[in-house]
Amino acid sequence: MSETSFSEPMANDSATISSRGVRLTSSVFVSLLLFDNRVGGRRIRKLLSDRVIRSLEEFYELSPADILSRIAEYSGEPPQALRAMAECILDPSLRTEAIRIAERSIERGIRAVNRTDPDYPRSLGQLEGMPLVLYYIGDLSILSQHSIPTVGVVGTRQPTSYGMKVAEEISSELSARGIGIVSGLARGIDTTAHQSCLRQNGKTIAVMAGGLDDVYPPENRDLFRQITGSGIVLSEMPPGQPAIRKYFPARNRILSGLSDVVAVIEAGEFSGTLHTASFAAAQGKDVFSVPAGIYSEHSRGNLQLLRDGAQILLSSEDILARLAGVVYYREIDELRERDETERIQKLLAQSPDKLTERELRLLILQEISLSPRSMDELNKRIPVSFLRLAEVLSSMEIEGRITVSGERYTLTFSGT
Amino acid sequence: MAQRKGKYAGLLTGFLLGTEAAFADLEVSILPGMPTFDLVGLCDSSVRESKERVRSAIRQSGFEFPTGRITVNISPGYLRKSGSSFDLPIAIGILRASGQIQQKSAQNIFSFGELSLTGEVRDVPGGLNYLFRSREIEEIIRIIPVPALREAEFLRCNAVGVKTLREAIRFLSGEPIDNHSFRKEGHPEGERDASIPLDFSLLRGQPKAGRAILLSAAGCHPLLLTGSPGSGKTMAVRVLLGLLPALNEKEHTEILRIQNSVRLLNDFDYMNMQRPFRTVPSTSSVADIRGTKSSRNIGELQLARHGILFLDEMAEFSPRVIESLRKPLEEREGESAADLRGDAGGFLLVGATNPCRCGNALEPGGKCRCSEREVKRYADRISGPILDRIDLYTELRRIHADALADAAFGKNAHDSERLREQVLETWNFQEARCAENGSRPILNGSNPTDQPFDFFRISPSAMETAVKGCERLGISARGMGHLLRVARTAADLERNRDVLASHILEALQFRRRQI
Repeated sequence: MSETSFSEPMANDSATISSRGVRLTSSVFVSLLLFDNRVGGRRIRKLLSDRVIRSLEEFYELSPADILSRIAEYSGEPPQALRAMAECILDPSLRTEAIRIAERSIERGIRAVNRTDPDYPRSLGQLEGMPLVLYYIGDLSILSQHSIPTVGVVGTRQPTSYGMKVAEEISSELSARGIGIVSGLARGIDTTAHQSCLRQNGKTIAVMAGGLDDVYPPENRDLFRQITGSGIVLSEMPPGQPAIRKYFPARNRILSGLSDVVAVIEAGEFSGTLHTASFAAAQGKDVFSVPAGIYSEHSRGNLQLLRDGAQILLSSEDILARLAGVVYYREIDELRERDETERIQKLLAQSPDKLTERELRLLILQEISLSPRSMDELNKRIPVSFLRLAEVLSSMEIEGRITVSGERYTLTFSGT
Repeated sequence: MAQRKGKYAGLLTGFLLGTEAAFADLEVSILPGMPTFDLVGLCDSSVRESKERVRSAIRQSGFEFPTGRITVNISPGYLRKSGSSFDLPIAIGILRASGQIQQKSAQNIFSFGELSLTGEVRDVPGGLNYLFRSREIEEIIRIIPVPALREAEFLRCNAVGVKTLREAIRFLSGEPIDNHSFRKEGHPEGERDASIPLDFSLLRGQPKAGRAILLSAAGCHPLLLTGSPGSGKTMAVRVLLGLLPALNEKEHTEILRIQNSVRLLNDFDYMNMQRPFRTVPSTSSVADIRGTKSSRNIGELQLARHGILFLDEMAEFSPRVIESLRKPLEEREGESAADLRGDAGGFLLVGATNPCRCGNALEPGGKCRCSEREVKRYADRISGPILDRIDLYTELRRIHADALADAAFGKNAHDSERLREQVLETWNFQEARCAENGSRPILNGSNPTDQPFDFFRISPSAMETAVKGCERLGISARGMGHLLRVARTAADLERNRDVLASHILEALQFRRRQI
């Protein structure tokens, strides 16, 4: 290829729109590369991991000369593939398209977050094979570092009244306890789950299969608007992509990835919901399944899941018990990350009586996450009054956050 | 008597029925005929041995042993009698019947004591009980061994102490005799050393056990200590002993009477106001624990009255023995056997056990060689019904060198004095609540679990916590009864009228858990 076949970088043109626009454009550009079979997701990840391209933004922002020189030095792919790749990355029509889509997105309030960004949803960041770019409308902080626990509530698009009732009850009860409800904005169970959560003024998270500019199914446009008001709607598809059937399983992996546990309310024998369940299992999350009669065609999938080792879901308490553990591990991690440890340790050394109950709980968790500790050992390390410690330990035990084995406290591993 | 065909004399003495003394009418009849000497009235061989001592003592004291058919009857004849306390009354009876005493007063004689072959009068166990019973009759002459004057003085009753049979006869004949002073040996028995209370500060490295012991003392809650050998279980019980308030005079008398029914008392017993501490070895039989009614065996249950009954190595006891403890702990209707405050004068049950056969299950470092199944089987050896009676469970671990330094303060520290005050105040607080509710005074530990906890004043939030806790942690209804009792004591220790959620949460720490 000759240098002259390239126009000047399109980045100059996009300077007319804001810097946020540039970022969005670069994200859209990455999405377009993903769909172009000259590049595709596998090669992008490889280029990133081999440090040929150092961030997603670079695909759009690097000058053609830089791109060419970096690819020229690269030997990770056959020369032909590298040529096609360079051609694609520098394709001006792709860039024009990206700008067009970005402009439309901004009109509609759609934003993008890259996998390499600090505010990329925490739970997805820990998993493999999650989208490089996510488009969203709404409050991204729900999914960030100090996030709330989440439950994926999923099921068939043609639920029975039983399924609807269960979906409504479970979602309401969980949202009333401050737990986020994740679902797919589809007809049936998904819709009920989102609605019940909104009614409790809870935070609900919808993961869509197509672009966010085209709400599918159309009758959920109102619901979509409500969710974007207090919760968040996400998709890995750039605006303009219609929700087509083959995107559904990919959407389901994001749905389960965003959930701490997944509750399958009602699923037929070949339901797509079962995809969500198997993604959840593969991601190491607990799957709860609502039992039903053996003659119920609509719950065949649920019974199948139970046979395969899913947890039985009899009430929202089952899920709450499991979440308690999840939340606590998260809190410990956060504590370590925020380096609050030092402050609390200092407080412990100087005036242990000033520790709040939350700090006391975190100290206890920290102690017993290292190794099981007896009451006496804990009291020696956390020299608050015996009664105060006993009170906190008993409450934590009742809540199922810790348990006693061999007269020593350990963390609970309920469900594993 | 001269009008009768034979000669006859009667006087009063006593004999022991368990720890109580009963009156016995002792009659002597001397009939003409072949010289015989018979003793009737369901006497065992220890009483029948009296005959030889009495015969010799009478002769050696310069009296004449009458010839003829001598029959001594100790009535009531349907109750078993044993012991050597009948020597002196038999001798007096024979000498009276044979007319060798010119008795001036017509007063009844009450007497007991053992005789030596030369006629010296010796002390016998049970004197305190005999004298206690004899106070029911006014206008009675009590002729007792000199050492038993200590008991008479303690009971504030008049008695004549005699050193020899001769002296007794001289007194009865109206001749002057010496006023004897008594002195008991002040030497405590060897066994007592093991039951000297220890100071609370010894438990500084083991706050959980410390708290359990304080709760146990404050509410008279049966307690089970689980721990490896050397973790200080016996020490903990001795600390508990030191937390119990001192005996009052009535309780002290009762304890002395029980003790006196099996052995002679010494001065130490009279001065020592400490509660009994009975360690029951695991080899004990049912009879050792409950005593036998027919013979003079007093069971550990009685010996531990007003004090601590300590079952060491509880898992090693035979199920029958443990079973025999069930009833006394259950008898809570009116007469509670397990209440230190009540009129019945119960005991506080404390058990100790290893967590497993090798004893190391709770120790860090994987020293325990028992399999999980073995550990469970070992724990299951303690019978369920007795565990149902236990309110407090705590574990003990060997303490490490740095904690030992803390514990060493125990020798000079006096933490227990302050806590004993607190325990007494807590007892009074509970008693006041009982009075307020028109109930007889009981401590929380013996509030029947099957009776509603009406006047425990459990706040709604506390009740909610208790119900939720029991539900989540798999605690049975009976277990909840224990929980509420302990929580009530936790509140009483703070002089709190209402049981709050925090008290429930504290009590939950001391529930039974699988190892």
